[in-house]
Amino acid sequence: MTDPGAEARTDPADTPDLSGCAVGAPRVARMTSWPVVLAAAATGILVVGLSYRFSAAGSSPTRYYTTFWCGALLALVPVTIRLATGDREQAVWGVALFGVLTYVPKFLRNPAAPSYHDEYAHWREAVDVLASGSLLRPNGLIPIVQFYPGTSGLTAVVQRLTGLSVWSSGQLVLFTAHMLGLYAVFVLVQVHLRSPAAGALGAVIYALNPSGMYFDTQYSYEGVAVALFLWVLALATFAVRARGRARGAATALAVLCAGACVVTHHLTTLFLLLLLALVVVVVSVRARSLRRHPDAGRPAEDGARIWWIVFGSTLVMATAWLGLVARSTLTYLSPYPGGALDQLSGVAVREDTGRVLLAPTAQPSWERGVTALAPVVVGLGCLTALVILRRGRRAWRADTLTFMAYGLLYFPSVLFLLTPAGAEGARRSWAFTYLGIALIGAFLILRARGWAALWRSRPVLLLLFVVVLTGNVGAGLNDQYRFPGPFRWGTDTNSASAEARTVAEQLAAEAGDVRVVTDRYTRLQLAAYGGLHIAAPSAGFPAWELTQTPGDPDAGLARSLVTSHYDYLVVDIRMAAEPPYNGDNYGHGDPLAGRATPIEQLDRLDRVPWAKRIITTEHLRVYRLDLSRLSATVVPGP
Amino acid sequence: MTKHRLPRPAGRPCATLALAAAVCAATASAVVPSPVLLRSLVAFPVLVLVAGYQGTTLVLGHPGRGTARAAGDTGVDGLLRTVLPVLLGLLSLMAVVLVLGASGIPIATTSVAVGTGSAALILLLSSRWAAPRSAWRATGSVARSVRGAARRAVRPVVAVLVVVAAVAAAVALRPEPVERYTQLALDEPDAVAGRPLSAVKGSPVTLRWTLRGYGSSLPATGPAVRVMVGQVPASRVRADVGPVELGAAPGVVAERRGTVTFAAPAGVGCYDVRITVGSDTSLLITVGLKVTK
Repeated sequence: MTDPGAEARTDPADTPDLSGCAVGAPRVARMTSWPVVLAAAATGILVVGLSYRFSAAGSSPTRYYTTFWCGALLALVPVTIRLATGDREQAVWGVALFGVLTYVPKFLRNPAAPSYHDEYAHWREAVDVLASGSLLRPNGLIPIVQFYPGTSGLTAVVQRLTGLSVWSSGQLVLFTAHMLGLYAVFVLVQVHLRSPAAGALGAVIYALNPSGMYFDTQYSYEGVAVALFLWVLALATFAVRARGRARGAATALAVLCAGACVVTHHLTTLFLLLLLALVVVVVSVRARSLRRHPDAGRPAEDGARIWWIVFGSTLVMATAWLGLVARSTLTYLSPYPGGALDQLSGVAVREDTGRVLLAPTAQPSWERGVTALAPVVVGLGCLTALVILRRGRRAWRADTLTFMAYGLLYFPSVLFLLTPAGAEGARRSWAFTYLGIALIGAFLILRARGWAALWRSRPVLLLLFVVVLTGNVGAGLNDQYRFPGPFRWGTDTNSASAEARTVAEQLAAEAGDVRVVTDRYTRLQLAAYGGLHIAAPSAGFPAWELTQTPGDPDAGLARSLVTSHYDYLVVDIRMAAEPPYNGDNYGHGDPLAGRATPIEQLDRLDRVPWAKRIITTEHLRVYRLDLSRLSATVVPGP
Repeated sequence: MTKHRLPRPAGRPCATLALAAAVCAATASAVVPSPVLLRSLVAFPVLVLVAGYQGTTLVLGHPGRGTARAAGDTGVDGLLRTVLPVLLGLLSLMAVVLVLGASGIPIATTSVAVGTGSAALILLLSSRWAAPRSAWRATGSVARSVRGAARRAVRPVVAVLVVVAAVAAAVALRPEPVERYTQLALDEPDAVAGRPLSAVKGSPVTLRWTLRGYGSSLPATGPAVRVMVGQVPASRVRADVGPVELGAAPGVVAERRGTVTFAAPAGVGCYDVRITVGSDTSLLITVGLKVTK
């Protein structure tokens, strides 16, 4: 696989070489031989499947969480131990298996159809691209998805070439992206630390990021874009250190990946630009400093031009895309940073603006404890690495140090979990900042070979791995996203029902591409399976009044609904059975937030002159609205 | 390298021709289209990996000709040659769909297959064109390469089969939840479109409805049909209930169609008509009725 000759070469003008720092003896114990690792992986997958069976049947959370972690650890620990032996020949296969095993839990979560909020939007986008034969289709659930056709376009191509279902094609795209992402980290860390063992460990550490197992493996544009983000950096890093044609070709390929990233996801492009800008500045400053004060002990910074090319090209492509195609992106993203900062400062002075971290959930207390512990463990590791690095930092290349410093942004981002607006952004940032953590972690583990006592006590390292894995997965997504479960009103995932799906399809078949008012949970099904346009209620457009108030909607709302052609109302009467788990049925501003909708307010719709129930099931009711008849007189009887 | 191991001078062009033929066959297989399994396991990987592999060769140069030195002392040449074909294959697919989208060509099976096949052929020819002649001679024979690759692939293939079997078993462990519910809908386009039905006072009004059973069949006995006009029972009600039939739509186990006829009220005006089918009062639909002279 690797060129041993190249491995052995050292360049005094480059970063310190860690290639000799094998993590342990390459001797392979019987317990970590490939057949045993593979058998453990297969058994672990089955046990994870069993945990989903328990959760879907409504078992106790302790039972299915324990079963899940038994399966996940059974699958992941042996391959990790195998990778930690520093067996460079087998590292490629080890990372492949680790990638598969970190993808499988999300795949098993909903193997046949979308279940997460963003998955519905992207699945519908791909369906519309295939149906229309053109890209950039309007999206009813996440309007900005329309302007980022990378994921839907790839899914459409795979579907056309393979004949698989749209969902399976999307899964193939995401699985490929997940694996590619890990290998990008492998390449990047190996190039920076000049050690294949470090590359494999870096890939493993990166896969432990809190978004790695569930969030970035969902069928959504982030998953694809993150892989491209990582490859831009890996290829640019490689180009900086390569010679001849490989240098130019790798630079060109990095720019190509950046272009693909630009057309796939806005936020990833933004993070890419920020990181590239940081690298460009640091590398350029250091190169200038070296030119003025040559120092034999410092590595040459001859790659600034490549970083500038990649950064400049990405900036030009992103600006062009924003200006020509995706103009509404800035409007879409702008509320988040300001809102998060406001709420974060609010958390400091008031008690009611923040989120309750680790609030009461089905998550067992031991997992919640480990979730709180994981950032502390990672933080202590980073602190130790910084102490080591401080002594010899002049010997490291500027881009390596910049990546490591970028990783430290993970820690302030954890603070944003305290704010409702910042939590989403924080979650999305981990896939990027953890790249630096992976670099630091791989460096630390390889350097730690000198701490013989610690290294000999492998259980300590294994325990740290288990704590970070368990804690980070626990910090990622909540119980409803991680585990299938019985119907539970008020969640994005477990409020989905076949009943809502068939109603969506029936309404679309009978009424066509119409506009509908409904709650935020039924909305996902109606938009995804019916292609219907769903109202987005707000203070200025309080469409929730149709069900969340005891009287008729006011004249202003009625006029808005009529002029905007919101002619249908879909009601799931299970919203009267229990308060929504997520707190509200119509988003921010719902007057009945935290409470179940009184059934009388739903039943009265059968008696008002402006609504006619045209389709019905035991739980769902579809009304044809005619709000021009708001004050009409209906004859009470013959 | 000893003399007898040198490949035939035509070895490389043969390999190129074989790859080009494979790409054409894969393209044809997608266009026809052939069975999903064949397209997914053979045609699709051929199209993606030929494009990816040739792209990798363009980027890194031909293997074994000192290209590892070009990679500096990073030691990732081998790793990149393993992974880049997949990345470049993915990028070629994205390029194809973006070009189709930008040029207004419909994203259909034929256009996608031809586009992907063309991209693979262009990369194949470019790679061959860019290769130094010495690289042709230095490359081993196709047969030897294939045998070597097959030998190396045995263990990974076994591993893939084991993991796929485990995933399939884990999926099967979770029983598919079956939701049982009934859907009632009016078969009156006017009602769905929000237009009130109209009738002359006292005349018979007929409405058609469909009851669909999901997850389970419908009761064998015909459902009771009740009609309320305004807030009082309608007069001269006659319900014609069809037999239970197998459902035609996806997920529908059984369906029953029927009509209900009743007398329009004697008074002129707009009325709400409420129709209940079956004993479950939740299966209710309403319709506006405009009665004229």
